[in-house]
Parts: sequence; C-alpha cells; structure tokens
Amino acid sequence: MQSFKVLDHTADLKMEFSGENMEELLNASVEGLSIYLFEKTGEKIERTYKRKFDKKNEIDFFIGFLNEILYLMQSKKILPKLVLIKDDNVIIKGEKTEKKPLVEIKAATFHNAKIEREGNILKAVITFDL
Amino acid sequence: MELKKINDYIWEISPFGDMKVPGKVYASLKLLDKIREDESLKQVTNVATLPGIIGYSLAMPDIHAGYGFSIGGVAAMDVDEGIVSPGGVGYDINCGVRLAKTNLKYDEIKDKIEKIVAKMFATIPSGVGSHGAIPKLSKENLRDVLIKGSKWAVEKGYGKEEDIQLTEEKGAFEGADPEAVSKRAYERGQDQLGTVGSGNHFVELSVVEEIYLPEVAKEFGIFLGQVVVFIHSGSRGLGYQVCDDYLRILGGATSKYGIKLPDRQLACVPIKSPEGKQYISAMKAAANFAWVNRQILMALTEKAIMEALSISPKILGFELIYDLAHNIAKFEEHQFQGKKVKVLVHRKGATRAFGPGRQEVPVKYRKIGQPVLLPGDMGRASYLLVGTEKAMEETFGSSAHGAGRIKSRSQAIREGSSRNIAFELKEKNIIVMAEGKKTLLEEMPEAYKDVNEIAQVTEKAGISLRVCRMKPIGVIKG
Repeated sequence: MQSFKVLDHTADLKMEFSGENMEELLNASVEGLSIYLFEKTGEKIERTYKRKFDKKNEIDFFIGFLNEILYLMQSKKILPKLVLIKDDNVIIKGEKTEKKPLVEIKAATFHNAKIEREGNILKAVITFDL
Repeated sequence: MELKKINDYIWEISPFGDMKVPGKVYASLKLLDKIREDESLKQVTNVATLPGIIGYSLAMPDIHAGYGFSIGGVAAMDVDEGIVSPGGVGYDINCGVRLAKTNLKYDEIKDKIEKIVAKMFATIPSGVGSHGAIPKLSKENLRDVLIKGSKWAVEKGYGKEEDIQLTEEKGAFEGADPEAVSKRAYERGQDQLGTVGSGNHFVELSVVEEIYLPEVAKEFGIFLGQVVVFIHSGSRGLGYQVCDDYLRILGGATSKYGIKLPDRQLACVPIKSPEGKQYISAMKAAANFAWVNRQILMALTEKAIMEALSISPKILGFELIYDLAHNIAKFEEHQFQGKKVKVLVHRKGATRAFGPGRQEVPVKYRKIGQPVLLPGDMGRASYLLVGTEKAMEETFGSSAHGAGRIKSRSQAIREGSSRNIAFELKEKNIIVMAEGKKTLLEEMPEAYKDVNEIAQVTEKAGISLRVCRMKPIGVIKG
C-alpha cells in the first residue's frame, strides 16, 4: 500500500513516502509530488519514458528517479500516472498537462535522505530544495 | 552544542570531532534562540570539517537550516589544499538581488502603485517554469549568454553599459565554460531568460523611509521618499541542472580523493582536481546566465513602470545601484593571520560586503565600500547597507543576505488558510500580485524573521553598516 505525507521543514520541503517495495515507493513519490505540484495526479497514458538510474544503492537510485520525475513534470509538463520497474529500467507513463505547477521544486537532495524497511513497509524521507 | 560568547553579537563553537576550524555565529541572543531550533548550527560544524577550510566556518545573522551548508553560511577554502562543493553554492547558482533607483517620489505616485504593479505583473513572466520574456534562444545564442553575461543583455538592448560596471564581477565571470554545461541544462535555460521564477523570488517597489548614513546614501543616489526597485532571481532551471549534474559527478569522485563527508550533500573535490575545475567552469557559466536574467528583468521593469505612468526614461531615471550574488563561490584574495591568501569563498545565502578600497568594488563606490543588499519579507522592510573593513577582517568580506524563514511553508499555509494575504497587505498600502494564492500564504511576512533585527545585528557586529531602510509598496511574485 503506497502513501506519502508532507513533513515540517523550515526552509524547504520534506516528504515521506512508503510502499511495500521499491516500485510502490516510486509510485508513492509520483503521487505525492503530483499532488504537491499540481493538486492532481495523472489520469491518462499518452507518453512513455524509459530511464536507467544509478543502482549503487537505494538512495542514489531513488534520488536519481525523483530528479528525473521533477524534470519531466516541471520542464516537460508530464503528469505521471504509473511507474514500473522492468529489469534494469524504470518505465514512466503519463499524460501531457497544460496546468502550471503551483510551486517550483529545484531538486531532491541527499541531505538526511533515508530509505528504511519497517516490517513489510519501505519508507523514504527526502528533503527537496524549493 | 556549546556556544562561547565573544560579545553580544558573536558566538564561537570550539572545534570537536573532525572539525578543522571553529564555527563563528553572528547573532543576537534573540536570533540565537531561533537558530537553535533547527539544525543550522550542526551544519556549521559539518562545513568546518571540509578539507582546506581556513579561519572559521561562518554563520551570518540570517542563518537557517539548508541541506549540507546552512543558508547564511560562508566558508573560505585555501586554493591549494581546499575543496569546492556545489552544495556550498546551492541549486540556484548566483541567486542574487539587484537594487535600482528612480527619480520618482512616493508621494507623487502613491495613487498609481496598483496600476504599476499590474503592468509589471503583465510584463514580467513569473511563476514555475515561466517563459516568454524573450524568444527561445538557439544553442549558439545561449552559449554566448553563458560566456558574456550581462554584456550580452546590454548588447541586445536590455539596459546600459553603466549597469555592467555596477554588477558584481561586472556581470560576467571569466573562465565560464559553456561546454561544461549539460545538454539538459541548456534545454532548461533556453526559454527562461527574463523570468522571475517562483518561491521567494520577486520584483518589489519600495520607498526609502529612513536614512542612517546621509553621506553614503548621497553617494548611492538615495533620498527620502524615493521609489526604488529590488529584483530577486537567479539562474532558473539551467542553474538547478548544473548543480544536480555536478553533485552526481563530484559525489562519485569524493571518495577517490579520500574525503570523508558528514553529509552527502556536501559532496566536494579538490579545487585543483579535473572535476573541481570543470564544476567551477560550469558554475561560472550558470552565474553568467543569472546576471543576464536579472539584467533583462530590470529592463522589463523599467518598461512596465514607464508604460504604466506614461513617462520617458529620463523622467523615470531608472539606474542600477548594485547587483549582488548570494549563492556563489569566488576566488578572492584576503588578509589572513597577517598574510595575503588566495581562497575560494563559498557564500551560500550570504552576500559579499567588501569595504572601502577593494579593487573589486566599482570605482564609483570604492572610497566608501560596496552597497550590501538585505531584502526582507514583503510586508515589513528591506535595507541597503555598506560593506566595512571589519567584514574584510572577520568574514572574508561577507554579510547577511535576507531575513531567513522561521515558519515552514506547510505551517504558513495551515495557519493562513482562512486569511487573504493580498488584502491584508493592501490595508498596509502594499499591493501584491502573485501567480498563486499558495505563494502568498507561503511567503506571508510572519513566515520570516524580522529583517530589522537582522540589519541591527549585522551593524552591531560591524560586518555592514545600515545606509537606509525601505518599505515595500508593490510586489510581484511567482
């Protein structure tokens, strides 16, 4: 079961994402960022993007993914609906949107970034630079 | 963490653990109470562990928690032994502020502020991913921007030759390498010149309310009741991408140089390493982009005011006072322990504040010191200060850059959900226009520390002196 929440951070944005596995974690982050930026999630599949990320460790992989998603959302105006992990690739599916993001997120940072397993749940806490 | 009181405005953190130098915090007791609430002091000590840092890991009076470096952090690195860190510059490379003066007197135009702000809002693109101020640039044109900086804008008719002289670094770093900037960074920057962006970026009309140093104010061309303009923006998507690209490259190289980091966001490499040189060349290119951006924003603001009031450039008298970077790393020479040293000064949310006599200060201001810009929140005040000899001696010529947040954005939105910030500000004769209501809530005056306190502490500590206080009268935000 995937989910997200916004945590308090004085200057920037801190978010917690959770899911049962990495694929759910990626989808939770897409949902959380879509709602934070656009107040809605993607509904259609019009575009598909295939990307490879550094697999050195989970944090590098996840932050690489988040920065790619932010680029797609803010620069390419893509509202993602679904993320799949296939072999070495991450497949991002979504729709083109004309809606402007409400705020600008510069990047996901490594600062105090963590991914931990709590029982069956994988939890990630990430600070974004606004 | 123990803080040793040096005087009422300076506190020291003695080295512990891997710290190579002490930390030094410029704050009053009142500011210190707020500073202790977040992790900024821990970040000051983390920066003190970086190789080649000399003197102190410094914290300006507006310090608050960032990621890696604190916002308001200053660190000077020895050029031979030290490192360069993209985290010590930030994602918004050369985010900065410029202050321009006009011939307008507030009393004569106070009934037209709404009209001016509406015209500015219509003329100057703001908000997320905003574009359209100037046509999308070709790769070749953008390459020129990254090399020439402000000169490119002036050549294209955005501003005057004098503006270049009154911009830090004359609006262009030498040694910027457009080849060190990624294809994606080019793509993100192509249509963003002349855009404000979102968050705390703004264009603001202010009125000079109080003058503290009349002689210096006169040299800066400031008089009571005068309308002035602050512009706060940076390198937009191009800069964010350069930072992201190089955090990845440098993050992978840090261990190669045997550098142990307390925080991955402090990823760094020796200044003289191939990776370090490449990042510095790319950072310089992004900084040049930011100077062009603010130069164009100034030209758009001038056009908007002239059109709103149907006046000529001569009557408006729009002239740059100064343009300053506050997210930057710069090679500078300083006196340290009686010797001249060459250092790379990282200023992350801190502004240069050179005192009299320095060659880097425009000839026009060299006898008095450089203008130091301290914008506050959109409801209270902003300050113009002047750099001092003491700043040269103590902070590698650095000072505070703003008010600093005290409320998180989500807290501000929660607390302000039933408020109409634009209406409240209008009651105080401040006209505000923004792309979204959310921005206004996030940027409400109470979300920031009182800039009056920051300015006073800065002056009492001696690292800049107040020249005048200005009150906002019209603001556009993303």
